[in-house]
Amino acid sequence: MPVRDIFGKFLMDSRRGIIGWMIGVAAVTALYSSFWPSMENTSEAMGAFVEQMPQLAQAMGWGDLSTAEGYLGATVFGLLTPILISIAAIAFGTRAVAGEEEEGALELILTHPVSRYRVVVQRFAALAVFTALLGATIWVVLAALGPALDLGIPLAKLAAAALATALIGFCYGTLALAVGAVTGRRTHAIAGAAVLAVVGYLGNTFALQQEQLEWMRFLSPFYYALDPEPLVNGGDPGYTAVLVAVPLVLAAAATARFARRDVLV
Amino acid sequence: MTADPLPVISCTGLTKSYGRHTALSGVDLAVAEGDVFGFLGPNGAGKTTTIRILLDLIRRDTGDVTLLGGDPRRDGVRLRRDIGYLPGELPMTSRRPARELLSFLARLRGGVDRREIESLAERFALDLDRPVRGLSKGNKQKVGLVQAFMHRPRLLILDEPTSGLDPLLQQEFLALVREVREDGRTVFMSSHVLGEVQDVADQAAIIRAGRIVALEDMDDLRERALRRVTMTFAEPVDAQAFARLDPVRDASVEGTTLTCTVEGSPDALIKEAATRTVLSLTSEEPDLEELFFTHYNNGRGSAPQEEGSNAGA
Repeated sequence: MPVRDIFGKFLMDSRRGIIGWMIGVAAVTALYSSFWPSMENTSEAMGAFVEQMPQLAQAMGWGDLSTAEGYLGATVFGLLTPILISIAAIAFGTRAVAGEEEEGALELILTHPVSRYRVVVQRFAALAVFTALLGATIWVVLAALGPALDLGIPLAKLAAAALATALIGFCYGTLALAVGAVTGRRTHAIAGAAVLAVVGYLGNTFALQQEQLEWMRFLSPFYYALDPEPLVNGGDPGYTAVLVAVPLVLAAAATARFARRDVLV
Repeated sequence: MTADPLPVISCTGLTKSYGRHTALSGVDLAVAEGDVFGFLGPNGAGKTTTIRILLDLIRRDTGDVTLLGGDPRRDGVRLRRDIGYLPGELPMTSRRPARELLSFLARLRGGVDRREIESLAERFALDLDRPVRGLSKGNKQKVGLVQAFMHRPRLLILDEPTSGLDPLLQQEFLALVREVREDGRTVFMSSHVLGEVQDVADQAAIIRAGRIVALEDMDDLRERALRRVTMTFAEPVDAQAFARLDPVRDASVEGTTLTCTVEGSPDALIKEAATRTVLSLTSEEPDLEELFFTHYNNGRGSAPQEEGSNAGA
């Protein structure tokens, strides 16, 4: 079937990077979750620390560091893996169109009997697979270490949290792909997505301390992913739908524009 | 089967600007089926821009393009099935072998006879098992040629096909082009050097500053071809003896060395020189710019205005 070739080829060509990012996400997840038993033992001291700075604690999502859900939600899911996966997805999404366009590799594909829609849609699908693999990595690591670390979190809730984290990356990766597809410039794709990722992160953390800035969280995928506390409550269908809809809309708009513009001038 | 009355490529009034910069200001072209067509012009004259419009990589501002009976904007995917394209620059950064790249491109075309790939690679002495990233410029060019020819397309669009090839492989390439023509297929190839296309092309268009300034039958052009000849003799010679010869222009002598320009056959010059002892002879082909100025500035009214010769790629 020639239909999936662009999708498969792009993933195959990226496999070193994909494996590298999976190892990185696995390492960070394993490292921070393995601190949990010692954190649990000092939870009283942590509780006192949090009480002294309630605003910072709220901003950073340190609601309750005395439970495994609270600790993982604040560290692995609240900060480290979403940022790691977002960086990986932005790099992947940038290369998917703008990077290969500037390299000239896209030119050769587009002069074959392939429509521009097909190229963007299949690379978008490759990005979805990439972020899904990174999300699955978190889940596999926590599922494997869970009993040993005495996390006591059901696998379904770990899956919901991993999915939400992967979707943050998916949003920003798609943004990079879309900016690249619209402008054809690698630097615009990286810069645009990175700036919005920082704004999105701050919007759901420090901006919460300023009432006037609270609206920012609605622009933040971090808010839709983390606010429902999937480790405690499981997945939230409505918020998850937002995190899926945003990339779909971005990809559709980017495809429409890419199909009409000049490639590599 | 009746002869196809439509040309394989036809452009009328093609224009393209990038912002304030005008890359094409009204290109008219017609390429007949079964022809080898040379598309000549200095670097930056608009050759690559025109080719990219044909392939629908960029979109024209105004003008009409018909390619194999379709419009590249509307029927791009279908048309590109019948086109083989060699880009001017081939980016190849993969660590995978050339064979893998070629089979990927073949799959995009819905499959290509593997033997065709092997036989083309053999003709160009290309090792398909080496990673494309490490290939020399010439070897990358060979990969590009293989992917352009492998599906036996009706139309080949080749941007500077011989760049990077050594003379032996250039001959092999020209032989391949002749075979394609014998099949009744069409080749449209660009170059900034006349010599690359003059042995094989039937027709040539010269583009300059985004406009076609001449359309030539190659046989005529060959007849009028200019060469700069330098000869060194054993003894001093008289410039007058050569200057009076019909095909010789601008003859000048410095000591024992004669420099002149010859239009068309050098026969008369050779015969005159043969009465003396010739120590050395070099014959150089003028570059396109020179040819252009000689033929089109003197011969046929006004040349197009200078619009900056390093316009768009």
